[in-house]
Amino acid sequence: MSDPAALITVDDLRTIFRTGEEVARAVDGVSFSLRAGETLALVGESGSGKSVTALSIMRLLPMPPAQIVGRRIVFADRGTEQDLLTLTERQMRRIRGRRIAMVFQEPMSSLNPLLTIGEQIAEGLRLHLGLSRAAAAERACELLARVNIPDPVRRSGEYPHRLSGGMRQRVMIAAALGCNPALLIADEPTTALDVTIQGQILELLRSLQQELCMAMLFVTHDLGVVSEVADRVAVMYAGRIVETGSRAEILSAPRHPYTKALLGSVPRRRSARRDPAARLPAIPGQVPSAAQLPPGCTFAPRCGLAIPACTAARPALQPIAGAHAVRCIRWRET
Amino acid sequence: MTALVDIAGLDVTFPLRRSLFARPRLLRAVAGVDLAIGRGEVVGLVGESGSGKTTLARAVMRLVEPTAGQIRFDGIDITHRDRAAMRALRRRMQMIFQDPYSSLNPRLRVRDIIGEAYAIHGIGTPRDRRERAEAMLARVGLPADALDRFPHEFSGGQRQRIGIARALATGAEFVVADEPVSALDVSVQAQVLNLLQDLQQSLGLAMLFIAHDLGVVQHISDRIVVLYLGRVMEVAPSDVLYTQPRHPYTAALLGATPARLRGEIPSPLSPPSGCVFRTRCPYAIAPCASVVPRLIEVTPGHAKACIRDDVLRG
Repeated sequence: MSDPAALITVDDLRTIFRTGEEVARAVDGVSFSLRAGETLALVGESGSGKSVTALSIMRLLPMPPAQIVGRRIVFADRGTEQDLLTLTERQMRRIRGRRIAMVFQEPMSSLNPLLTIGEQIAEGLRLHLGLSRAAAAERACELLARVNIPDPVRRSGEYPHRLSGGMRQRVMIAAALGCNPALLIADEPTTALDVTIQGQILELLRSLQQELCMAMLFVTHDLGVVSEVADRVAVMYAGRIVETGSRAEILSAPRHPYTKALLGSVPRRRSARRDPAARLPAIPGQVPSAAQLPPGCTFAPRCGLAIPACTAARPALQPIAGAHAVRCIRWRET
Repeated sequence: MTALVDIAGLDVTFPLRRSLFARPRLLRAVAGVDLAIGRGEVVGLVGESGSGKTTLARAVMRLVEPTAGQIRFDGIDITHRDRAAMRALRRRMQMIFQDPYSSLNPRLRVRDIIGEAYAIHGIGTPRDRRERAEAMLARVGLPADALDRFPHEFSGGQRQRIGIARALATGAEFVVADEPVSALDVSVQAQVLNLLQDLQQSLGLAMLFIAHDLGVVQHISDRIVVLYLGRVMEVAPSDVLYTQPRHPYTAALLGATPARLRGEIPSPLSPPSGCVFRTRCPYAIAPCASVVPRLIEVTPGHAKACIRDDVLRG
């Protein structure tokens, strides 16, 4: 299912964590591809493996305990194809931060409290692009202006603690975009922010992405955010992609029981009169531990449609129509 | 009908001192809030971070000291009650916290976490406390064998159930729930919300429910209060607020205005003059900088603090 036009192709990614006797299969056979200018939202609850997938691509996991056992991550950038999993750390360092950049959830813990924000942005520019101190400082101010930080020259001399959460996240985005990366990985970038600020940051990311024709892998647990940013969506559960498709297919016509249940369990703002007796359709139980994945379909123990066949074999990702595919043997019944 | 909780003109100000000799600057976290909560009523509190939601809630519980105004609980003025007198009342007013990881003592077994509440308030004999704790656990959907386990043995959702059991163990009539589901995963969030709703209804609890997630707040609340820089911007029954917001801030929070809200919440150390929201308001006019808008009822039960009566008319 390889897409020749893809910028990045993640092929059967398997990431495990070994702790003592235990083997936790955090990412258990994840495949997807992403083209330039496209946004794929990787959606899931905690423990679904979405962040580990992102960190595996960046090769930022501590090894050991982490180990990437399968299969390859092809990065087709500027006419050359490289398997990120076979690169040396030295080669990887030339890609990380330069061609593939990342923005994290908590901007305060990813910024150095002892450096001014101008210095931290300039640091990456000098390292990756070899800019002089003065040129890097000037470019840092341009980047701050680009992410709509008012009065960038003055702000660039300030320390992170002086900034609000939204402003810090803008700084992180400016730093990430410094080298015009081909791929931006955003791991829950708006989760720690207020709704009003969240909207501003999503709008900023979207406009920058279009302008720079950047591919974006957007990791989130928030289905509301998905509807605002994603072109395509991959829903993860217990280390596997259980459903993938266009934003409209996933949000309006989901077929996997988990996707359906997840969408149903979000309390929505409604215009209809509130029924005080109304209950949210909750999913019983909880996400299984990656060290003890149930046999067959990992969602089966919580699924209302499960039949004995569901636990007998691991279901394959079955195509429904176009790019819409679902990992469920009973999707026709949902 | 008298309200169970009646807050009038509540102010909470924190003095901030830059150095030992500097004059403290005053941070007014809650500014002149009036709010009544009836028995069995769920009032939702929404607003961005820094809007004073948590401070207001903590002041109602007397966990921070109010600087001005009055708090009455079941007709009793509790604004200046001393700790001992408050302790007796705490049996009837309890709190559920956001983070089920840090709000449960990791060294205590669940039995003692819940049993502590009985011991403090002198409820039952030690023997019958175990039965009470078991019954309480069953109410929140946990098995009896959970009693002998430690908090770390539970998932986030289960821990929040323990927190709820602890809060309700002493027969509270009023509960402050400060972001009780925001640390939980979506699929677990629905379970805990349903539980809270069941308990609220079967026990007839009054609740002050704080959440930043507007969908969650609407789902559980009868009435909603919108807070901005410590001031009430709008109050309305839940359905009305979501369908006909009358304050520009509420409309912006709900995404009901075409333009996104620009900028960020100003520092509470130097709030704007007049209407505190005017610096971000798409409808601000010159008088907004000088007139402090009063909370005025637009229809019964629906009030807004905005002088622009000509906008957002529904």
